[in-house]
Amino acid sequence: MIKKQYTMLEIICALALFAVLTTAFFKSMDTLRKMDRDFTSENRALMVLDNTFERLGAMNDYSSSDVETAFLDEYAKSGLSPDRISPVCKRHGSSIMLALIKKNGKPLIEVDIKCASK
Amino acid sequence: MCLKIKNYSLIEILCVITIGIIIMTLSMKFFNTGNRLCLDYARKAEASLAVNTLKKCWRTFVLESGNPVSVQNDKIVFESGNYAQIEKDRLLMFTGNGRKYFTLPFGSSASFGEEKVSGGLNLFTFTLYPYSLKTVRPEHGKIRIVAGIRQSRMEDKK
Repeated sequence: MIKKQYTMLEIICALALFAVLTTAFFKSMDTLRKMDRDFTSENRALMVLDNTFERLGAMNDYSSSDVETAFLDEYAKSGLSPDRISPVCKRHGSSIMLALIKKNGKPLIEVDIKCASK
Repeated sequence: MCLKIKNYSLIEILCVITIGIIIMTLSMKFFNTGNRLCLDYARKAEASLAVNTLKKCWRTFVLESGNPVSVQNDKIVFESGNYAQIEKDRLLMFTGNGRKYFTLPFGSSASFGEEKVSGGLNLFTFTLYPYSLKTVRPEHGKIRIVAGIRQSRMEDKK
């Protein structure tokens, strides 16, 4: 029976391949975890807007400052981190624009609301 | 046929055992990490669906019930006789039409709350805390569902 002996180069190649696969696995796990965190934050951010609409729906009429107060209050109570998603309110005329901005600067959602002029 | 048996040295055997242990540990870690990640995703998807259903039911329930008599962490009672209660891992909503049970997402806990905000609004909150191994409720993952009632509407009902 002839026993084949592995050369040093073959062993090094096998170890390198193993290291590459291990790194790739942990890297993909990290990416998945990051995606998971982002998805959870976005889900909760949408709940902020949903709760704001619920509060506005319970009012007969609302001014832009009411909308802003409700939106910022809901954001504060949601416990979202401003590093991930930050709220933006912009008034123009009788309407107000509410937006939730992701950390890359892109808006997650933007809503224009017409308000009673107070 | 002459079979030649090669005796391995101690260092070779130790190397083989070490590599074997490393491979076994890593494969167990891969399996464990992958398994936990998949379970987490399944739980989050389940929680997301439950929140969508609960949101609608909770808001309709509060709107129908109106004025509250008492608000506790695990029970909220309304003047109309309706009440909602958290029973271990499920939520009970009792109305004149009957009882509705909602099973909370796996391992989650929940609480009721009341908030008075500007604009004469009374807010009734249902907060869902996600599954956690820690005994303290994790604030960072909580989901808050708000149902609002106008103060003047509540006074009209009185």
